[in-house]
Amino acid sequence: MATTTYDAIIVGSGITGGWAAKELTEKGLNTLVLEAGRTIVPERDFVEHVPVWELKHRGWDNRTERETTQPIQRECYYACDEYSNQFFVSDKDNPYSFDPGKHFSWIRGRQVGGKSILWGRQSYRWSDLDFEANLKDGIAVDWPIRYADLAPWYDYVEEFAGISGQAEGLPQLPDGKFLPPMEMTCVETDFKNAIAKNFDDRILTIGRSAVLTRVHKGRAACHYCGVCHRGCITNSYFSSISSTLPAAQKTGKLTMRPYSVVHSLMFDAKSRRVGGVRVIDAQSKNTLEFKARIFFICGSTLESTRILLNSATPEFPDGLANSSGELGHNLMDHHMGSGASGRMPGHEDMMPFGNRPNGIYIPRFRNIKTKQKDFLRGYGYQGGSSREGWSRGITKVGLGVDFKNSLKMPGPWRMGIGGFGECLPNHNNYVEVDKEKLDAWGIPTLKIHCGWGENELAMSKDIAAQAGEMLAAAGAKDINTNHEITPPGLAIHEMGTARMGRDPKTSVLNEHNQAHDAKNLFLTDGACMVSSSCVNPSLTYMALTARACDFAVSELKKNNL
Amino acid sequence: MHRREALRILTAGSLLPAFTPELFAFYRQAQPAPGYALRTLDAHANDTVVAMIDQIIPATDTPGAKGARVNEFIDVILTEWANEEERRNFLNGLAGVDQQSNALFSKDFTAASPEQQMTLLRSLDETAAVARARVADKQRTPFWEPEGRDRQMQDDFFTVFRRMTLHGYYTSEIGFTQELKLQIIPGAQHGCIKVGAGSGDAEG
Repeated sequence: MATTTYDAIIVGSGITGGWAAKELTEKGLNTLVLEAGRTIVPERDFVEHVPVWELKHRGWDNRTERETTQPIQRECYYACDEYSNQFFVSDKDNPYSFDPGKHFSWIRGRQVGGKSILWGRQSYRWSDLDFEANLKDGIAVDWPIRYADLAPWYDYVEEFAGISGQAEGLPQLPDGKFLPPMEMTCVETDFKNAIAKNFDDRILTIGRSAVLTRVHKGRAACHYCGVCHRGCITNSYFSSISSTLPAAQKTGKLTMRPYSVVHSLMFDAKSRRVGGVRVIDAQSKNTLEFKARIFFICGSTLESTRILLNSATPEFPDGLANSSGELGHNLMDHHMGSGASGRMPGHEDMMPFGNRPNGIYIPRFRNIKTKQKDFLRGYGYQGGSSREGWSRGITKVGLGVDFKNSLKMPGPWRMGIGGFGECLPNHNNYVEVDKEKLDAWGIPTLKIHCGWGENELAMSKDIAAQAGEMLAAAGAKDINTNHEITPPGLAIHEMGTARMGRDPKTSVLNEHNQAHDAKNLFLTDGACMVSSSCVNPSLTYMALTARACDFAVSELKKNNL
Repeated sequence: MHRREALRILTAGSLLPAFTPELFAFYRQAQPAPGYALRTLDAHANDTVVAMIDQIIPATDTPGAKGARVNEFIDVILTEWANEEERRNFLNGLAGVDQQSNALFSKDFTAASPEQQMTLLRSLDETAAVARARVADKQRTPFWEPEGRDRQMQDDFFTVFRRMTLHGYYTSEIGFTQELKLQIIPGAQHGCIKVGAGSGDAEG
């Protein structure tokens, strides 16, 4: 059994693992990153410029095979496609379970870079509206931090990552250090103006995206091929592979170990510290152990919690660092599905240029100045406009030369928006380990118990209604209002299960993402979240990670860890 | 140009990468393998498919569906993608075209004149539109359930045939680059420009 000692061990190499690797190595720590999946070689694995005619099924995918290997991952249909399914896990090797009638979509990426090579790149700051929400509503526990604690760290991660966007001066959606915004289409500008004119509580802005609109820190500007989830050979979008891991590599302090599936952590009851980590080598299936002074668990919300649940000791029979009993509980995700779309008359002589990897954003407007009767918190909309393409011909009557020539030109403009709604933390939405059901490496899997509550269902209704009203106010025709709610998990914004808090009796982590029960253990991915806001969480994970790394290293220097 | 060289140019993080004609050519060099041997369509069925796709998307100033060998895409999908029932429905639908052609013109579809073929196809097209309108009212299974996915061949025969023809054509190199004049790497983004060929959405 091999044993090596490092200053720091990081589990996972996605958005938070990559940031931890950069921060800890740049601060001089000899750091090992354990990644469960394979190495990604962009020149071999990135496929964003492969023409669709080179695909065997022209984008229809190898359905027979994939329904066997990735029936869950395929629910993320817009990204887990014939090009990019290679970046999603095998559901066969990575099983989990949920209650009958309570589907949970667990979408995962296991490779160097994790889901950071697949993410939607929408990057928004949280505000005190979010950090104070639990306290004001008397729900769950209070966040142990406020916007002021995180603001300098948002600055810090934005300056490195490169976020394009437009400053709007909204208190509920603080502005960041933006690169130039991408352009809106003329239809989106019209929609923006119509919203400003007809609704005094809401605005529309261009999406804030971790895609470079100019050269930034040696990375090329976006060339608008538009399919970021297939990879980005020019490093124009933020991923661990394009940004943080190369920075960590440059320090000479990084050891990256792919194919390293973490089984559990080893807690030393005497020193009250995590001493090492038990790893299954994914290729040989041998068990290995690695030791370090500090541990950053960045394996993604549910994988990180699963590691702690699988690290039970006599003192912590229900999972390591679980003296509060809250480990595994308060699972959240954003709810999506409701929204509206419609045909927009006019601008027939204009069309967009370039495949913009971004859309528009309508920030939260509910429960800010006024109070909704039937739900707490709020939602934001993401969406965009485009002109219909050739596929409109499938359901149109017509054949022959005229038909072909008509499809050469773009069709009507369409504008669509879909909501992302906040989900309340609920102790009864939780995960536990199933010792009977093992994954391909013999590690106990998760049983997920999660469903939407009354608040989410009421909000989802309002999302559909308001979307329809806004489109109508902007003159949209043939409006299709969609009121539905996707299963939890499918927004891939899963949060909670190892929440931060002030009180060790009711939370797993303190205000520095440090485990109350083990001083050298940090969790900085979505597991730490106390509430879910309605904005995309990844930027906040980055800021929390950088902040926690700064704290951990200063504590290490003071010999407090 | 070697792939590595192409990538070096693209990743040069100075200014906007230089997209030379040579670089574009690199990304376009892959051609569908010539000499594809049909696996599901027999000779007569293939002739019928070719005659139909040639009428739906004919050659104009650019090659049509026949020139883009859409029949081969259809054969790939029938062989590797379609399930048993979808394959049977498609082949039965194709046989039905011959039956209607015989009833109307006393000859198989391939033997009918181009005008007769067009007459029959227009009739099929209108019937299919009625069938689609009927289905549109029904609640569809959501995409996150397996039954809600891969529904491309779940419509009436002629709608399925149209879909395969259009999809096969506009995702072919001919349809994508010659007909729609799309670029894989536009190199810039503008909210709106004057309408012209070549800047549409590659996803259709």
